[in-house]
Amino acid sequence: MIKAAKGAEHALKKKRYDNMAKKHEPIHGITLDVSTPQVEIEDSTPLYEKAVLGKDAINSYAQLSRIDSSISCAHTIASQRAVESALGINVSNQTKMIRELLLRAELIHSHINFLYGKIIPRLAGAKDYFDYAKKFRKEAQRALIARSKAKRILLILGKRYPHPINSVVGGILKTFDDDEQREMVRLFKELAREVLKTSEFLLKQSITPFEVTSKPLSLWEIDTTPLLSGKLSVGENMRVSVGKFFKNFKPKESYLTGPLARISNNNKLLSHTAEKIVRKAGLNFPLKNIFHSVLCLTIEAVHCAQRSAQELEELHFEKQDIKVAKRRSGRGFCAVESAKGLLYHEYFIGQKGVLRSVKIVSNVKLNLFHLKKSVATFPIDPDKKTRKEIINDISFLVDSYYL
Amino acid sequence: MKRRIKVGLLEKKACGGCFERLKETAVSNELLDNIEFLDIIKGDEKADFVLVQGGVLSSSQKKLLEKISRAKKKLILFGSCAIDPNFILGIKNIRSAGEIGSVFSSICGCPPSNDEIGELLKSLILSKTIPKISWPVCNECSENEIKCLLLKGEECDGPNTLGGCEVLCPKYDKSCKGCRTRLEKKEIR
Repeated sequence: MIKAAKGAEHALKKKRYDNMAKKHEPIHGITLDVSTPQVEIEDSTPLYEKAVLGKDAINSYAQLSRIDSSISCAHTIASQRAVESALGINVSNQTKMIRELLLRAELIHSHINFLYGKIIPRLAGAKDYFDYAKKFRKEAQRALIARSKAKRILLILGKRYPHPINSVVGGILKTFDDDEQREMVRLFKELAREVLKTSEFLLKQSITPFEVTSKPLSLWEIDTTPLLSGKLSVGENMRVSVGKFFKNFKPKESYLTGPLARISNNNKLLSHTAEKIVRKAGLNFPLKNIFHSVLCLTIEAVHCAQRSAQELEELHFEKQDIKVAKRRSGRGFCAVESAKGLLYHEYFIGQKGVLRSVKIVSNVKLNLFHLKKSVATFPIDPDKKTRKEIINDISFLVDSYYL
Repeated sequence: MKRRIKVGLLEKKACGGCFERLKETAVSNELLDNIEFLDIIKGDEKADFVLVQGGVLSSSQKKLLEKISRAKKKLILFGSCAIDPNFILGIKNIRSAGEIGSVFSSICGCPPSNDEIGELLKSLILSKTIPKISWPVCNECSENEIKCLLLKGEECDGPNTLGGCEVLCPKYDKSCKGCRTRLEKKEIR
């Protein structure tokens, strides 16, 4: 379609659009011009890379968690793990488990927020979230309750949300007591049921057919669906260790990351209920229709909630000391799956423990290329659809990338 | 409360956490009958008040704020990044909206608590400013009998930082990083 837009038809279409309305129509901070559809989204990570340079590596996570509040736990943990890897700190299995739980809880919280803040209001024909909350009070309150349940888990695990404080370089400051553990099990189970209801609603919606040719990039492990460990996987053909990120991936070329990529790469290990949603939807892997990412949010949230409840029922947590970090130089890296996609942090720490080099590849950087390409090639039909409808379709496409 | 106001939301360079909490508070406190929220980015100029989240980085952001200021909209700095973005985010050349337009009210926090946001929104409906916080984090540490981290020999920003956070960090033996902005900022109400 972009070729067509550049060709002879372009002048006619453009004239039509110019007559229709203003040249630019910004949507959620994204400037859209429907005559030559394109998105302008800024990746703010380079600003933060510069901001932490020369600062104490051990405490840099606090600033880096401010890149995006909805994935602040993921940036915090990615930063801490990269520093731990540079300083040669091996944290306990309990710390790894609590961090994984924290990531899962954030994933559920973020998915619920996104579904009820953007996707469902759009499907319900509301102007925005506030319009939706006013017109559909009961549903909005139900979503708030689900969100507050996820937030409660995040507060038990992270002691603060967004920008958690309980995970630090070397370990976890305070574990939870038995009552809190039982409470989390109950909340995870309730959340799984709640999201399952949402998936049933989404299954009834028609999906626009639109395939992307992108390669799904996510973490992968043979026996689990990891958010914090494993290899980098691009489908079944390419699996490399995290430390070889820049050797194998060029962020500007871009890979598709996020729920669609994770479900594509890890679909064999989903929980029973999550698998049921996959079967009901009739999904075939690898997933290529970007609009399926909305349903993937519910599949993933159900899976994470059930897995977490199951693991929490079986595990026992105890108080552990924080491993004290000796300030020394070294290179460290870490890849973490955030709700919105893969994050890669790579640092070089100088002699006095300050950051000398910081490279962060965010979900935005990874997905941006394909998003722009998708928007440019998305089939728009100005003869059958109004400008408003076209903008709505393209906005839904942009939302499906979950930036 | 029968009065209905229009509140514009303007997002600048920030993590987005403050407006997320605003949405949560507005819906859970059932304030949508009294407040209509407008997206300033969409060019909505009907707002009585404009809540600014984050710091100003680009010239286009600055121009938009100048335009809002010229239109005599009541500007509210929403969250610590809007009040002191350089200190909170550490990004160079970032400015507060308060340096560009005159500020009607402000609310600190990273993000502000639901109670604080609820109080702010209710005060806006009445066209009032919210009471000024004037005490440091240290006062709350003393009230909660939390051992002083400075006396333990640790670096702590508590004495310079506005209170009201219920000593979230010192409670877990973590020093205060000043996320509720500096105490001496005069425009904070």
